[in-house]
Amino acid sequence: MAAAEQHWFDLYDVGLKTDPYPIYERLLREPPFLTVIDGVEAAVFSRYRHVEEIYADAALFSSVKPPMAVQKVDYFSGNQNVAFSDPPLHTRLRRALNPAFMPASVQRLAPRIDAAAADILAGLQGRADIELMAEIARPLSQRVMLTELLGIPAGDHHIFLDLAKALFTPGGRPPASPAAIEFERCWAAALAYSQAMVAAEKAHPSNEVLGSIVARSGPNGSLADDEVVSLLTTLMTGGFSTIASLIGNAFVALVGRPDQLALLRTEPELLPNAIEEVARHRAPGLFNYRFPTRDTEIGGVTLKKAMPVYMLQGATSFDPEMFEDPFRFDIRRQPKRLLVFGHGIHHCIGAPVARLTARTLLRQALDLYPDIALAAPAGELAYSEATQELSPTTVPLRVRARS
Amino acid sequence: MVQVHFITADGQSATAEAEAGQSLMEAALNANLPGIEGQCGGFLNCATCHVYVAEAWLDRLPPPDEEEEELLEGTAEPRRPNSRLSCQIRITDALEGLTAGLPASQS
Repeated sequence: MAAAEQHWFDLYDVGLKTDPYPIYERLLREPPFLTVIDGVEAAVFSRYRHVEEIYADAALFSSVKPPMAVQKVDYFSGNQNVAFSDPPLHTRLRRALNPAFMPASVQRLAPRIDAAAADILAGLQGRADIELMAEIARPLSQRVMLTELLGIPAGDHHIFLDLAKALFTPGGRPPASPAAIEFERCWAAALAYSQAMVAAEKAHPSNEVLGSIVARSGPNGSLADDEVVSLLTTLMTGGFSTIASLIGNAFVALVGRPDQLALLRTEPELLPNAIEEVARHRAPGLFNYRFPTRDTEIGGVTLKKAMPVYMLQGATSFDPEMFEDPFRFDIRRQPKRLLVFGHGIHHCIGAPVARLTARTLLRQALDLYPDIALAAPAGELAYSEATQELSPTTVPLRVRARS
Repeated sequence: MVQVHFITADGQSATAEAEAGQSLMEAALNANLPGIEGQCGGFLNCATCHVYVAEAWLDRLPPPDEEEEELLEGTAEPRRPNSRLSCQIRITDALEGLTAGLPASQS
């Protein structure tokens, strides 16, 4: 039974993707609030300091979903997942993943990401009209995560692409629905494949990432075999859509602002800043949620134990307490302490790979094409239906290559 | 307030004011020093707040725990005997004047 009144803000408003700025501006003028989301009472926070406080306190704000909570975003149907776990389980799982995503490991990946981007752009030689998402962003992110990071042959990628699609079906998966049956099929296939990968890696070590995780399994290790498999399945489905989203948002934000693109061409050393500003202005993940482990209060809002608490991390980047003239897009800004990839123990482990991939591709595209323009107005682009994700479905580009 | 000093990779020095109880990473970020990223916010997850603590101060700090040791193996710039993650260094009055070098890059 929901006690709160329905607030004007709608978490599933498509405007959060197509034109979020008036919504964020109003949210940041108003206090945080209780409302009804998916039929249950929930709290919504947009201010930087509130979201930071919630993210920082994993003991008070659990990541484990109570049964039937936030049904529309229950991606893993109760299967174990590092993102939806609390310490001490989370600590054990995260520590197993960390070595593969440390700055030194990501640096070792750089030449391979460079080669992957170059290959994909070479395949488009002679073309003036390109669809960024289908022809570059998705193939590149898939190749980075599945081939370069995890060593999965291209012929087997479909297993994880299918699972990712089933995971993020908008509107959830009611029991016994076609979506639920499809999810079970995809999950079983990915599980069997991951189990075979683990067995093969144990017999013949061949992959740095896989090897570092598998090394922690077994009788004396910190992970059980099924935990290794669940970590792999998460990695293989969680990564590529965020990378593709960041790439898509980067091109829309920069190519859609010719003055900023010209500045980046003149001062290419601004590239890392430019990608941070894209992440700030167009966060690939719109919101996240937690569940209080006891009754508490944040920002004047009384929170009941286990109630869904939504954090609009996309909005935090526009909090005037944190960012000067927050709605202005400026690649000279040096945004630090962004909350868009999370904050705290669940900070997105793949964020450095996403940043590096977006930077690499943008650098190569600017070298290759002296002219790049959006072939459709930025305001008319469609976005994926996955509720938490800000990802353009198509970004048509018109390019001219250096002669 | 406690004063701490940073030396950037190209030899520039900078001073930051820190409150006791804050981490050295927070002090650097609050002072807007380039050279510290602290992507995860100081929760032992990302190894982007790497510093080289001046030898004279090293023994006055509690040693790194097992998790910090693991992350120090993956820093962008090489680990040295005086490498630490600044999110794990808690400022106390006894650390007045602590000096730490910043690596050329964090990620």
